[in-house]
Amino acid sequence: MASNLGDLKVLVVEDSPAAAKLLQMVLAGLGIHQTFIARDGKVAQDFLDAADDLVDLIICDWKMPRMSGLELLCQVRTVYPEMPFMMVTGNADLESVRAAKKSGVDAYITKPFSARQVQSKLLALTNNMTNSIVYSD
Amino acid sequence: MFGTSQDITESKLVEVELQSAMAGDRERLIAAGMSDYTSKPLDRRRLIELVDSWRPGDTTTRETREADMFDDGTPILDSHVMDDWQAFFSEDEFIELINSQATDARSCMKSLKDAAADGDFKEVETFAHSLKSSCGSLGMRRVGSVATALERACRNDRFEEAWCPRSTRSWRRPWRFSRNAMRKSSKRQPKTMKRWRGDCGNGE
Repeated sequence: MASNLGDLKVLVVEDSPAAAKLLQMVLAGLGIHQTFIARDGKVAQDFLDAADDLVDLIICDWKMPRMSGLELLCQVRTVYPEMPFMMVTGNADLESVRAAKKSGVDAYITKPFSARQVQSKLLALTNNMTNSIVYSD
Repeated sequence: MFGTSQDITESKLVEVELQSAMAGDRERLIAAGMSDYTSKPLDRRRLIELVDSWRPGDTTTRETREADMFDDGTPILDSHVMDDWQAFFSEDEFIELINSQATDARSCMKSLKDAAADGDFKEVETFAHSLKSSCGSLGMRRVGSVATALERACRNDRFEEAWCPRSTRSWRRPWRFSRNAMRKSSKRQPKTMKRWRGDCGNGE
């Protein structure tokens, strides 16, 4: 498992090309160059089925065609209960945050976001990942 | 905040606060002899910028300030958002960011207009959502708020009330001004150009 941000392999699930581009640029700026872009939850699910070893962490939008971010989160929690999952969404209402939390989201960022927010959440998630390895040993 | 009021040319500064900002208020009050204007509820940042702009020696001209604000004092572009991105990205990356987001926003606006012409509310909601996202990322506050209102209206089945031929006009001007402000922003250096992103625990 990745011990620092630069080693992370991230699956970005985002239907908006602009938002996906922005996230990819921010991740690259943080030293994360192993990123994959899926345009909706269904594409992401198929990618995970075929190559889950290429993904350490998922960053996902909520509102997408075919399969929403919340639906993907539920699927991921069933198959990969330990996969870190960060929601980056325009849904800023408490109800959405609660629903995501109930479904097992690890981090939640509302749009518009800053690079610092992404970095802070990623560092927290990376620390959790490292700690979980320490504890399991 | 007003501890340095001695620096301000008092004869010039007359502020008028109104409980509500009506379109054209600013122009009428300026025409009546007021030097400047802000509306309630007060925006702390806006108020500080306003007071600062009247300091003696400030080189910002009235024309420049007016070009950066809408009539009700809403910034066309949230300069703090732009400064954040400019401090994070290299110059080339920053220009790439602006171009990609602006291209997407333009495409969204066209698709949204087409969907509205077809009466496809679901599509309008989808494109308004995307527009809100790309404009929000760049601090294009006014265009973002128009998109947010439209998305909410579609979600609540109030599309007919929210959309009319004037709707496109309501964001055309904010969009044009935002785009110009972005171009201007891309040509200047932010006040604090500190590339902080290296502190990622990966030695970069």
